[in-house]
Amino acid sequence: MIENFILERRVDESLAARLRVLDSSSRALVEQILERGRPSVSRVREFLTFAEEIAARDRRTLGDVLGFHWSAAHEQNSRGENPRDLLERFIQSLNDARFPLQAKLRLRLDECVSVIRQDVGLTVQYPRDLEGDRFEISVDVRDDAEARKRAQQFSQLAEHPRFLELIRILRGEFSELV
Amino acid sequence: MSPYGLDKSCMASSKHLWPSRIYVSSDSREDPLTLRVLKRLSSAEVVEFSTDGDPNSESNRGSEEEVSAFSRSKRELMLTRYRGTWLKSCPGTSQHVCCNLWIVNPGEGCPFDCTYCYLQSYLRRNPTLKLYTNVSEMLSAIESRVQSDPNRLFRVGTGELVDSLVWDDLTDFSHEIVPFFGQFQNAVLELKTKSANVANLVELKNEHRGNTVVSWSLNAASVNQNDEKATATIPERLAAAAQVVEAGYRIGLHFDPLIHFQGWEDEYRDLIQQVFSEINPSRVAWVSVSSLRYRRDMERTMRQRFPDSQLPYGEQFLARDDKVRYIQPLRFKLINFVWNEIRNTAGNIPLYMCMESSAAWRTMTGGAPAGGSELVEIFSRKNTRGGRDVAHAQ
Repeated sequence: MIENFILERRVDESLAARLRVLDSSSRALVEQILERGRPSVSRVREFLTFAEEIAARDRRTLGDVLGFHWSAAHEQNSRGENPRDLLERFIQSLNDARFPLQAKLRLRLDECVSVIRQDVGLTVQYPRDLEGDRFEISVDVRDDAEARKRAQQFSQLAEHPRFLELIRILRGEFSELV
Repeated sequence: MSPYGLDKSCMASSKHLWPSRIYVSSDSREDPLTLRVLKRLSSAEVVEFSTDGDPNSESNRGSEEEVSAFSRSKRELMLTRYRGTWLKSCPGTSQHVCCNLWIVNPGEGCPFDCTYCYLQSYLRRNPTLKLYTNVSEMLSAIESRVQSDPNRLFRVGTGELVDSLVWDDLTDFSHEIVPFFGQFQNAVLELKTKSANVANLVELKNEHRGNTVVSWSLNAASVNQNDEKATATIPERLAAAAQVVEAGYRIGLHFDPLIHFQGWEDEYRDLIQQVFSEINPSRVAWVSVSSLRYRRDMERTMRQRFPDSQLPYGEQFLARDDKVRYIQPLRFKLINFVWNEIRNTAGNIPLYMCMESSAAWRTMTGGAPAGGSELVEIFSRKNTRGGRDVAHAQ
């Protein structure tokens, strides 16, 4: 089945070589994933890279890593979502395991954004690559009343503990998360 | 005994790294540096090489794999002449604050074998270790540039493409360059190393005139042990630093690259305590702090050459300058911790960040250095023991 995938999807040599040298348990898992998740070539490259890096970092076998995260995706998929959702969960699970701190930080940052939106009514965008110290907030203002309202919102934002937390996290102050 | 009279057997040497094969280009055969090296490496195989091409370059090495050629090249040395521009400003990295170092390369490649070394990427196509034998041309080029702009401070480093001191007991290069820099009012030489090869520098204690800063890269004990193969241990480096301080030099310290690993805070705290229990902060010219970074194409090389290393598996991402770095919050956490530990231990010591963003400067110091002015101030501080000021930099 892997060989068919390589031929049919015209997989590049580098990825094909990685797929061809898989041991039997990893091969069986990858075949399951190809069958049930129906990934594109780039998605296969993505999940294989995550899994290989986790295996090397944690000194586990590739089959062990693939098996664990594939099972986890299945367990979360009890509602019988479509193959695409299953694949997304699987790759997200691998991504979070490969970059656990980033996963925690983004979760916390998204929580902060959500609370701020609810409390203040402004949508704060933090830099998606977590670089820099600038936030983007876009607002529409139609008249002087709205301008006063926005000014009030910005004053609220400046004092909001979750906004201060956003700043702290980007600056590397996140002891409570590790 | 060295030709200058000091018995070097008591000092740390890099002889165990000396090459087993030497390529000599035909035009460099009679250069003094070539003659010195060949005399000292009398048991090495010598191969005359008629062109300037690297004998281990892609086109010359045949079917041998790049990483294997890179590893083998660490035991081979090419003596040749350099024909490019000797004195250049450090390329830095895009969108990051630069410390305005000038660089001169007396050679290329390093017999040390650090997992994170960027030369694995930078020199991968031409990996043979090289020493340039037309030293007098190098010195002339430096002299003419430095004298052409007397109001500018030139801080010149030799450690970009080669460890500044690893070959020094083979070449005695410091005997040429250290007294040479001693004559200038507006130039400082920085020799940067992971060796403890300081015997020549100690001999030159009356000739450096305060214009040479000897710098060490320092890292946590486990990083030194696992990812800095063949280098001097941290205690050896500190012992060497104490020797050059005794000989009147100022020293530089580079906590770079900071690595994130289990227990990093304890190990970096211990390192900083150890450093400043042995080195008087007043003798430190500058300290830099920066975190792990490397070009994307180096990741594969690191994995192949150092399969047991954990360095490629951290929380890195591809940054805007096309280098792989830790994500900013983690990077700042590392830098902030080490920065504060240094400040708490050594007081108001001149500190800067290498290749970091303006955001990092704002976080760490409250503001980015405007036009490099803060950095210039750091590098032009008065040498308290060498006896004179350097010129004000622009």
